[in-house]
Amino acid sequence: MMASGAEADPSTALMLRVRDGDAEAFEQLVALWQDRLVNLFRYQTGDHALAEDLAQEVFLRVYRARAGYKPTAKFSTWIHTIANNAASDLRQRAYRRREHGVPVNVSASTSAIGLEHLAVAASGQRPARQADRSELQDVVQRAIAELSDSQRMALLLAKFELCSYEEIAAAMGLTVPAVKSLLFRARDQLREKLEAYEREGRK
Amino acid sequence: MSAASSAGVPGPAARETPAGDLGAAWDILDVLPRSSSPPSMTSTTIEMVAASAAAGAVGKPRATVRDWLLPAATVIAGFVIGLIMGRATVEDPDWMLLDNLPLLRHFDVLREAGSVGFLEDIARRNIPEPRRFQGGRPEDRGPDAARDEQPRTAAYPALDQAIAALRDGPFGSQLDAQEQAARRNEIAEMSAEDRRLLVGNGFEFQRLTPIERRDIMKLARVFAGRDGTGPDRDELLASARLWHQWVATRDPVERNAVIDLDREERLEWLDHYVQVRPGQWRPGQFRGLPPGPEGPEGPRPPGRPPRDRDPRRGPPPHDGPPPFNGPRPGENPGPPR
Repeated sequence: MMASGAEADPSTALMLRVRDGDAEAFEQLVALWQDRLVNLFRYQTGDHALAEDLAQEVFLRVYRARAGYKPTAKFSTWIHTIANNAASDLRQRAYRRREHGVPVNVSASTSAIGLEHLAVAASGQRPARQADRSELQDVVQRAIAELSDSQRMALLLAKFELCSYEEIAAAMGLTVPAVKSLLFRARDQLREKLEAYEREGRK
Repeated sequence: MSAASSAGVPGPAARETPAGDLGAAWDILDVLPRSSSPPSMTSTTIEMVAASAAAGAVGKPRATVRDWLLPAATVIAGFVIGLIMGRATVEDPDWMLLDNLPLLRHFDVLREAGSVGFLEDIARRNIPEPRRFQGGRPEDRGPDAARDEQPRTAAYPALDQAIAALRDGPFGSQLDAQEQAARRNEIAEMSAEDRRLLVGNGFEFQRLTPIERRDIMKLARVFAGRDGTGPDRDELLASARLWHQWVATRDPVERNAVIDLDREERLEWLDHYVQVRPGQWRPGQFRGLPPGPEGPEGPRPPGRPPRDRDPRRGPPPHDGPPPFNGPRPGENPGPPR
């Protein structure tokens, strides 16, 4: 059933080799996925170094689980599930230890200034019309940071990993309607904030 | 080209994706820069995973039943040892009931008999059987009155049953599993009232002092014929029957109070009533009715007991004439029953 799929999906093929003890395959798998995971975690946590640590944690979990790997689903869905769990575990650990110094949740660390920042940018002190691409990136990042953890993860999986609703639902342990609801609310929030920024910037 | 497509993931056009639903928000996200990890990250990750594997933290299989067997066996062994030690040092009520079931089922008989020493005292005193008072003078009751006043050997079936039970079943020692099961069944088949009495007897037995408990156990062994080197069993059984006859002449309330007396007080009570002829007893006193307002000690204020007694012993025995003064102040009450 998955034999043909495994042949078509390089990641699945690599993982099967890892399961059989092929160290070189694991290295290739890391090389193939580390940028994607770091990218995902960077916008999920807002911290590049933390994103790299989380990516390594995901690879460690992949290696630990290699013996039990079965290609019954797409490898991307499997590793996205691990990534979502790793991010969730980090949030829980941070919550328990009250690691306020670690910006685990960007929304938590920037929510107080996100809207204010947009307001400042739109107030003329930092005119939107003069905003360059860097400024727009900053505004979008802060708008993403305003989303909830699950909204942000669903959005990042959709945008950066090009996941379908079903794949996002499988990775996050949700139903497809729940994922749609998350993404629609994320879209509305982003639209609201970015339109306000553009509207104020064009005054 | 996105990272997804570079990893062999089909593009959004090939399947259902949220891109269309997100609209402008989707496009605006394109401004976000894509992170790239440092070139050394791959080697760092591999080294980290290898180090974890070398430390045994990676790929370690989950704990199996065999891994838990030794700790579990240790815990169970500790529990069993604790149970045995606890059984040896603490008298559990349930075990006590099982171990002493024959004794506790007939605890009232043993408690009434008191102790071997008390029964020996009775045997030495040559105490007669109590006469049965029929009411009125013999000449007023007809020709059979004299015969009716002759002492009769009263049956004491409770003592016979106690002796049989104590002979049949062991008591005072730990039982094997089979005997325990048999006794559990025996208790389970009892009526609710019998079980209540048994538990009550168990509590009474546990409340005894160690010396009192030892005396009861010794008496039970004598009754069961297991004390070969002890006193004359037949003589003690006769004393127990005789004492029972005397106690049975009293009403239930006074009877319990008499049984609660210690050895010396019992003998004093017995000596007193042996000296009183039935004709000297007033009917009410014989039946154990409370004395009149002017008892042998004169009028008592309302609510005042006849004399100072240990309240733990319950109500005092009936104090008919001549007065039974009970233990004298300062007198050594003697060994417990």
